[in-house]
Amino acid sequence: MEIYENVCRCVNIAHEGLNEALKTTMTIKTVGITNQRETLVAWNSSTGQPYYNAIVWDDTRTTHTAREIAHEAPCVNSFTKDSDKLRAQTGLPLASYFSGTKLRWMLENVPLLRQDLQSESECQNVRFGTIDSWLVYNMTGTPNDKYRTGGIHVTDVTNASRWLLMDLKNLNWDETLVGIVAGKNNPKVPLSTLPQVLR
Amino acid sequence: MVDHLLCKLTLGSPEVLTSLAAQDAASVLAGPEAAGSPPPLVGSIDQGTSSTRYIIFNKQGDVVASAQMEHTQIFPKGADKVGCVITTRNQIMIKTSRITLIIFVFALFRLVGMNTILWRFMRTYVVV
Repeated sequence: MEIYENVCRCVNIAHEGLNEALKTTMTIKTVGITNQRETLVAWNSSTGQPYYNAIVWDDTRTTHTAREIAHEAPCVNSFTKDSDKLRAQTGLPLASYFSGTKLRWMLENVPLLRQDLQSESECQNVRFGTIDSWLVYNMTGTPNDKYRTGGIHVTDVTNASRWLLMDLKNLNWDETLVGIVAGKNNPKVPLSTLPQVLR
Repeated sequence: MVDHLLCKLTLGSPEVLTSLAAQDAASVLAGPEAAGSPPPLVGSIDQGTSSTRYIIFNKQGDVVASAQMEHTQIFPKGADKVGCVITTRNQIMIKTSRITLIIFVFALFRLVGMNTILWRFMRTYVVV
């Protein structure tokens, strides 16, 4: 929430500052977003509230999680190191850096998120996203409006490639990868909870 | 605690702002039907690990205005504390390994360079 509020504040202050300096109102054509990439946010679209604080890309709490995934992932061939088991499909080694490990950590450590994913009605309101998704979601909708529609849930292909869940061949989420990374003892993560990948 | 709540505004250079104001005034005079349209500006949100920046650019790529603000980062001591961890040790390790890599690459170039010179020298010698 603080991050989104800060974005709004920066936008307002830059525009107010410019308009004041020029004594006129300037309009802009478009806005681009660059973001802290692998940092993960999980939120509920009916409340608009995050389930947890964002877990930042260089947070090392998922080092053990990454090892677990490496151990559990199916063997490619006997020459492949455990940490390289998903490399052919995702292009990434299994390390705490990537969003998928943070997603699994949240599944294991955030009770309300687990509960909502296990409930048939609440499951459709669960949203995962990197900071770009979170910002676009907040900028394109009003989570607290009458219809609780929220905003659009999207990400771009380069951010999606840093989750460990995207297949490089078709540039989309792969159900098998999601299953491996989420872990078989955790609630199932439907693809509908992940942002649409814009290509 | 108060410091990080400050949003820092930076405006573009006086030349950039004057030129922008002139273009805008010209477009207003020309009216929407005429060729003069308001100067196109593009906004850019840079949501980084420790701060957020928003920068407005003109068509030439000059910065017209920008605002920057830091956000709260949580550094938990125990495993049960929530938030964003940034381990200094980790960052130092990344930096150290980068420096090591750069030194290694320089050393390698130097080695290759010297070998090449030696090899050329030998060949020249043989040819002569």
